[in-house]
Amino acid sequence: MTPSTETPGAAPVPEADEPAIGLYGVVKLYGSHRALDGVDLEVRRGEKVVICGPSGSGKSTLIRTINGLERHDGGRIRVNGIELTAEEGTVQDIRQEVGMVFQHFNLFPHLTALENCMLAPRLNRGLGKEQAARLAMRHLERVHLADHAGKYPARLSGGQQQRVAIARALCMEPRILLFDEPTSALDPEMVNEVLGVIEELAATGVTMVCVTHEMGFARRVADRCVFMDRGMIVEQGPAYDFFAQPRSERLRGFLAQILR
Amino acid sequence: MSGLPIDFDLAWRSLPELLAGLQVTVLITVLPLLFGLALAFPICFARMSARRWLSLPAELFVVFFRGAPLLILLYVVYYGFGQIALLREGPLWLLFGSPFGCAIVALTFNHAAYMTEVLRGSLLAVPGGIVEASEALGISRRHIFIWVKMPLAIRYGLKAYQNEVVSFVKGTAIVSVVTITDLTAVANGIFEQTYDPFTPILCAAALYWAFINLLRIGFELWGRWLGRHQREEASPLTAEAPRRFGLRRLSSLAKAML
Repeated sequence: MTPSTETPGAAPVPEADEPAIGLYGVVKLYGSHRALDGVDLEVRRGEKVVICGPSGSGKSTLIRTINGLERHDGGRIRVNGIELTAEEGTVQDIRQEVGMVFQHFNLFPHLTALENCMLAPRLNRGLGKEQAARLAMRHLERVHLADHAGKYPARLSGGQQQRVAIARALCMEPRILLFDEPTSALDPEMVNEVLGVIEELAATGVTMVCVTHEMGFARRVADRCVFMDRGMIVEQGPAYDFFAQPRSERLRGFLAQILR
Repeated sequence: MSGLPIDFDLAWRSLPELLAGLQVTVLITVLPLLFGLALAFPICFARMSARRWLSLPAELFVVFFRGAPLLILLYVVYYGFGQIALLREGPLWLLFGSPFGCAIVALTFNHAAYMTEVLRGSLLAVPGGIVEASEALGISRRHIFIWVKMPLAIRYGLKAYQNEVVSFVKGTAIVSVVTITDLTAVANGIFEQTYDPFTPILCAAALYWAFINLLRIGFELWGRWLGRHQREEASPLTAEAPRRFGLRRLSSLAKAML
């Protein structure tokens, strides 16, 4: 990285080699607890990164700082060439580029699957009803739910709800997708339908950061795996090395726990 | 006399008068409901603000007007405000000079205080994760409020709102103490003329009951429409043929009403 020469407020024209996401010494405090303790992480355009680690290690906090759901207390965050500052405008700009999928789906319960997908494009981009519906249908088809477009979330299974949530994020046509334990709240038999959809997305070249404990998925999809513990990145590397030859004691212990 | 405590002839004769009283009751219900609700929104926003200089006055407003007995509030506005010369000579006297205006003001403030809390509770009940999901989609705060928070809050708060409205309707009966001839005042007048203690009051009660149940049905329909996202949808395979209106249906209807 060369030091940034941009002046604040300059139009965000990302250079070709500018990483999609750059975290530099990011600190997040909860009271005196350091949830993130100086995290450095760069994610290249199109790269798929899987973050894992024990609960409370800061992996969810990390992914949530990227789109400003958690505000960082120290360090710098750049997303698609936009510096994330305390200013409300920068957060909004970043969120237009970054889609997020949550552990608990968080669909709008009062809207149908189709309407869930239409809301953001209509409000943020001013799309008309029909245009938005066409866009939403296209993305519901991508997650294989076109048949369920008219259903309310309460009538869908967990796996279907999560796929609607993915389609909802896709409708903003984000260049970066964040997944925060997308399969942790699902019954085991529904995990694969959701992972399958995410794998299909991965093949499209979108940048992905995924917090997950699905190690098989990580092996297949991730370009790089990151292991976090106590608010710090302990180890990272290509998926194969990561699982085959973990270097640190902590990662070895963690893998022994989850791969048992 | 028929042995019943009700004199049907008197009831029939006083019906037009009672209906005129009901009209006043409806007016004195609906106007404060509208004004109070409109007032409750800004007060609720202030109450939920992180800024103390906004939330404290709103909190005091709620504490005061929920705590103040409606009857005394009405007395203070009607008899008390007339003592203030400045008010008497100002333009606001148009409002405070009439018993009707005073009643609307007192009832509105009372209702606004209750509705502030109903609204606040409903907004707080909206799951944080759903709001976060909206934020992550880049939806602006204003739009999140209009399209996500409010639609859900209305669903969570509908029952509490219905309760407040129903008890409010009955509460309006006290406006008769400031010379407004609402339904209760009309019934009282007939009693004083005829010394029949039952007929006018029971007729008035029946009209209150009818009014409140009309409101209840309205709420019921509204709630059913809002709750459509939770209902089983009637797929053509499982939908039952409509049952005929038989004894079975009547008895289940009766059970539902009990």
